[in-house]
Amino acid sequence: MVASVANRQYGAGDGPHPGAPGPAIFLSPHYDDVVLSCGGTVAALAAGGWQPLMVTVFGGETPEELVGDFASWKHSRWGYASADDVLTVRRAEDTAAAAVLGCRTRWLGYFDAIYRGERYAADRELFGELREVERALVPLLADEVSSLPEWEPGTAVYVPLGVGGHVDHQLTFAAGQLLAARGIPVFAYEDCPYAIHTPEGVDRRLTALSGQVGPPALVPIAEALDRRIAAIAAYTTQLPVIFRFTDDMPGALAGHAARVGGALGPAERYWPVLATSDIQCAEGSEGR
Amino acid sequence: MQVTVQPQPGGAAVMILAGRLDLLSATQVRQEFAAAVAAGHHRLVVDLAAVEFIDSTGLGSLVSGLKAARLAGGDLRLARPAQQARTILQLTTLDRVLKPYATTEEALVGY
Repeated sequence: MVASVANRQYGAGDGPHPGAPGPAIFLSPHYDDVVLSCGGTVAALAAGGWQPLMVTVFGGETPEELVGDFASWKHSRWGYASADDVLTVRRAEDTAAAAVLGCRTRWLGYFDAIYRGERYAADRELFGELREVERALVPLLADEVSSLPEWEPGTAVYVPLGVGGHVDHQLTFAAGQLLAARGIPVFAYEDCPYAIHTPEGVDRRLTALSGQVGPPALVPIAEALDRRIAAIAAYTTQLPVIFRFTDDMPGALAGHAARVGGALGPAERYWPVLATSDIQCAEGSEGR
Repeated sequence: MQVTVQPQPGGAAVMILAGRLDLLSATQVRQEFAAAVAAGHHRLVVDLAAVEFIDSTGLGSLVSGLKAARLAGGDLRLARPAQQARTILQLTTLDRVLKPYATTEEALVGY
């Protein structure tokens, strides 16, 4: 698998680049984000024998007391009866998706933003400004990731760019910035399906992150695209909500990958996260 | 992680944890909670004074213990958390469910 920037092809001696053979940890704010956004790259690394690890950050077991009105509404929308129901179903889906891709999984214990009290009580807040108090979660998350038993020298970390502005995506990106500042190769993936149904959101996020990421690079996924689509299909309870903008999920995914890759064929796009002392958590506006 | 169980009257127990409550010890701690509940200790007080560090996976083990105790008709309370533990409880909002007590005696009151 070879990454490409415009007409440039990365080779073995080019240093860290997205999709480079080697140990890799993909941070997924929620159970499906990595598979939705970069499942092709994950599958390709797995096929190459690299045992990529998919880590879901905000999927911790949640006490029922933390299920407020907003979370209850979300549950009903997704067809869940309780927080325990969410955990059981979504972890089963995640396990199935990981099996399709051939990757390992780990679930951290942070709670989804919808359960974090009154900090985010509506979609406009969930996809809005990060609450100041939550910035302290960033170093905790960065430390926890770099302390994982699967961590080894040369590990590359993949984080969401934050297209769409979900606060959990913002936090995960910020943790990536902290890791980059420590000299770890970190690449931001294009959050899907936000980038598919609201492509202008990508430019909006890049503008907000001006100077925080480098030029994009593409990872061809022609041979892994079908596996990515099949893995996404494992999240059966999420599909009606996530893909409500289309009645052709495979077509929407394949079309986006083709547009991204251009002459290269279907591809996934990444931006290197630059080492910086300024941890940005920019505002977003799209809803889910 | 060192775990010491001190049975108390009325189906209660103080569980003293010592060490790091993290990804490496979380499974053991979950099992200790399950064993305590199975042994009839449904009202648990977890003494965190000697827990130097908790990560999100460690928090998950506390949530598991809470659910196991409640399933058995009891509850789980935290006592004497160090600053790092209090910080992560607040940041994650788990302190809304597991309100830390200053002493194990206070935590046992009302059980």
